[in-house]
Amino acid sequence: MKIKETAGDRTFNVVNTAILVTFTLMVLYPLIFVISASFSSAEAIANQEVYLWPVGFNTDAYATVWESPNLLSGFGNAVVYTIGGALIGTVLTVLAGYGASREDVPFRRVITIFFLIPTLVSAGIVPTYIVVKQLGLLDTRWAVLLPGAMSVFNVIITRTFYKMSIPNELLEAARVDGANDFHFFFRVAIPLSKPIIAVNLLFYGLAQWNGWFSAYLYTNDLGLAPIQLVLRQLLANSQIDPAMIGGGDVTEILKRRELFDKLKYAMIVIAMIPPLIAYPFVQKHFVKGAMIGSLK
Amino acid sequence: MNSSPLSRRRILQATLAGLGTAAVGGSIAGCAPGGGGNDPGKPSGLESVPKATLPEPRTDMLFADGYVGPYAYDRKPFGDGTKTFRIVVAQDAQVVGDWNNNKTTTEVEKRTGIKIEFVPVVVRGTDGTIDMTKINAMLAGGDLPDAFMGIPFTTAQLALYGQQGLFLPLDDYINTYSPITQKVMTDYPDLRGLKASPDGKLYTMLGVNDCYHCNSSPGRAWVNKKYLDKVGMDIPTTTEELRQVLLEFKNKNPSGKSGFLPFASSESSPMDTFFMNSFLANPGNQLPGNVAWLRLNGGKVEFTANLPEWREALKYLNQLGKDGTLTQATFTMKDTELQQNGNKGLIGFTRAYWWGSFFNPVNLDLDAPWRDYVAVPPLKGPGGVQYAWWNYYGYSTDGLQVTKKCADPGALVQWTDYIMDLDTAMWTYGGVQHENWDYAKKGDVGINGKQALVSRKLFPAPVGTGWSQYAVMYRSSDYRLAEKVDPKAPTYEAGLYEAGKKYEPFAYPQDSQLPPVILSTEDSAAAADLNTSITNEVKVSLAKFSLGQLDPNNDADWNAYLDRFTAMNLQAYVDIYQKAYDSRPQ
Repeated sequence: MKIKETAGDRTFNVVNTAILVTFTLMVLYPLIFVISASFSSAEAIANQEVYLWPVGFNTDAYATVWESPNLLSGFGNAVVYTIGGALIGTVLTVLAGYGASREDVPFRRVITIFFLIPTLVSAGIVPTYIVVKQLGLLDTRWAVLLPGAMSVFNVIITRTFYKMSIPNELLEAARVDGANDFHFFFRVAIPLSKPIIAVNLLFYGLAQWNGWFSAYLYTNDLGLAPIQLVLRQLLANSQIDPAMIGGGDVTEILKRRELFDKLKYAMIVIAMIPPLIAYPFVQKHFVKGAMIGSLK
Repeated sequence: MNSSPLSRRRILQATLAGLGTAAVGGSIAGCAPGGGGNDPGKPSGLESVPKATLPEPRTDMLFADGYVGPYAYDRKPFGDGTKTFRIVVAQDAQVVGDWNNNKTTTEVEKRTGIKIEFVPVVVRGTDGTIDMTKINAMLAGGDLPDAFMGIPFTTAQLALYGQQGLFLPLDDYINTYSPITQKVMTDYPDLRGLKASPDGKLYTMLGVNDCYHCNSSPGRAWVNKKYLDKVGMDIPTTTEELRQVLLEFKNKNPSGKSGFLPFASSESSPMDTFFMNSFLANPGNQLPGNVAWLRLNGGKVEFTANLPEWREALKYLNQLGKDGTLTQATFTMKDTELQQNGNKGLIGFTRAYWWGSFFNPVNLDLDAPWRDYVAVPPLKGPGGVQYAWWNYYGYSTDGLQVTKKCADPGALVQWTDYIMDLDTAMWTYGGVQHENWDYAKKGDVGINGKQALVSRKLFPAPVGTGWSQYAVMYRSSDYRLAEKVDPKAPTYEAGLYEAGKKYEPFAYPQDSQLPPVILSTEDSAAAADLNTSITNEVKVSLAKFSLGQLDPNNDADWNAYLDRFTAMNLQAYVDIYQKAYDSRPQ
């Protein structure tokens, strides 16, 4: 039996739908534009003829990407860093967060303060560089995965999650049944942690996918560079203003500009597609996990 | 039971731990300044090492009369292939490709007998400006290579790192190992002074890249010859004639298209370098270092944007504004928008660096629309002044710096000497001989109309074959202009050379230009602050006076403008540069 809607309800629905549709279009249009532009000819883009659909359809940009060795290896590296960084970060964060949430941990407050200090007081680029250098990590993949592997912000979220979803009574009951701390962690806490694991995987994965600074600072070999760094370098080398090129060789300026125009949109699409694909799958957990901070 | 984190014991423990860390950190991070212990004073070469000399230059290539530039020499490799040096270079995957897997790298190794392990580093940010974060981290973190090559250190940075002992002073080494550099210093006498440090020492190998048309480029202007012919006027030679041309453009719209712009420019192209030079010698702020509107007048540093002649120039621009030919769009148009307008043929007259500033793409077809635009030589102002913007000191480039970690600085200096040889330099710049470049034949004509020296197919050279422009080079003006052009397929370089030739006769005298100077650390911080506010004031007021929001004919407006400069302490800015100029190294 269908409940009749009141006039107020109907108005609300209409207005609500209209606003949401507008927002959706505003967000969707740049996406469509970028994808269309990546399939359009460089001249059409320069003359601003591309509005919605591709003009002068061609797949030159993607062909260039395919042929360019660094761009493909950059994509592979980004996948490695994303998965590796997400796993390392999640393992560390869950262990730390769980430990920090248990009230019977000795020196709990000291440990928490110890975690907070580097968040508030960061040494800066040069000391961190020296540390990484002396650990022998320069120019290796670990230099991208290890510095900043765990974010204290995430630890605090994880700690709050555990405080709220694993009541003390549960721990006592398990103790009574003869479980020690490890049994409890692996058999009880982890199965209950699906939302927070998903949140952490997503946060760390995204941070690594979008990140370029660690690779920029600590590695020299372009074969280790993730795709964002390769993109950035492409962008930087195409923006040379004539006065700085030290010689005014205008053909060089042109060639760089041409390459960049051709590749710009294709690069954006390539860099953006994987997170777009992955997100719907984690979204359920993400929404649940993002609400963790709010009171129950 | 945890004691409170702020108890006395905990504070003591923390302090001791902190001090311990600081002590350890200090001893690691502080580089003891060591090397470079050569005595200053006249560089006399190294004792007990015979000076390297050059054999007779090769004659299997053709030099035009009066040629000043690099020559090629037959020399044997000086290394035995056992030594390896690490050199940090600029990363450029699109042009150089992999530095260590590069045809030129192999060729240079063959010719010198020295193996080089290149470490490429990104030195540009995404807006095209220089980003030295990584290099600074390497220098501060003690991760020194044996040398840096092609890294855009400023002269101030060279001085700083040299005085800290990170870079070695190279005068004695140059005297012993690099006869080509000595020759360069003779051909370009001001060169050493541009790169030397205030303590008198030279901490870098010297490179030259003397681009003829670059010396006039920030002050060039272009007009569409076809449109001029359509309205029946000639290329303007005075400011008044330009005004008439612009009015004709506006009234008659020779393009026939709507949205025609008699005078178009973009936000990154300053106007004062062209127009103000018809009233006074004005370097603007377009010299390297972006020094704000300072020039020399009898050895005294002078600010140009508050002089009476500047006011006259503003009156002229104000007149153009009243005519409606100079509009707001001229000041605010984005670079890409200017290019789109150019593509559509909507531009009559523009103040731009080259055709690519207002066309995109710029292809080499003989009937391409950009070829209609010709350079407008400097205009004569009502006072008879007719100057062109010129840069007399634009030819020095980033060279090679040897660090204190290098076990054999002489070998690297000699290596640099070998790559400056004409033949090897052509490899670094042009890629593989016979594939991408060759020596020219008799009768081939260069950009400057004289006998050509080299002919080249592609620039930049195909990926993986050359070093683009990052090597230490001696690319003198004659050498650059001796590149062969095909009269049937004129490239941009020939056109730009012609344009430059039109401006050269009018260049303001060399002693009007403030040469590059090195500021001390305190001074450079103060100067940077002042520069920002001064630049902003000059630009905004120029726009306001031109568009009529302020009136240059009105004494009150002009005096308020002058007062604003006094209020922002302009005199301190001038004094800083006067001091730096008086104490610059020779």
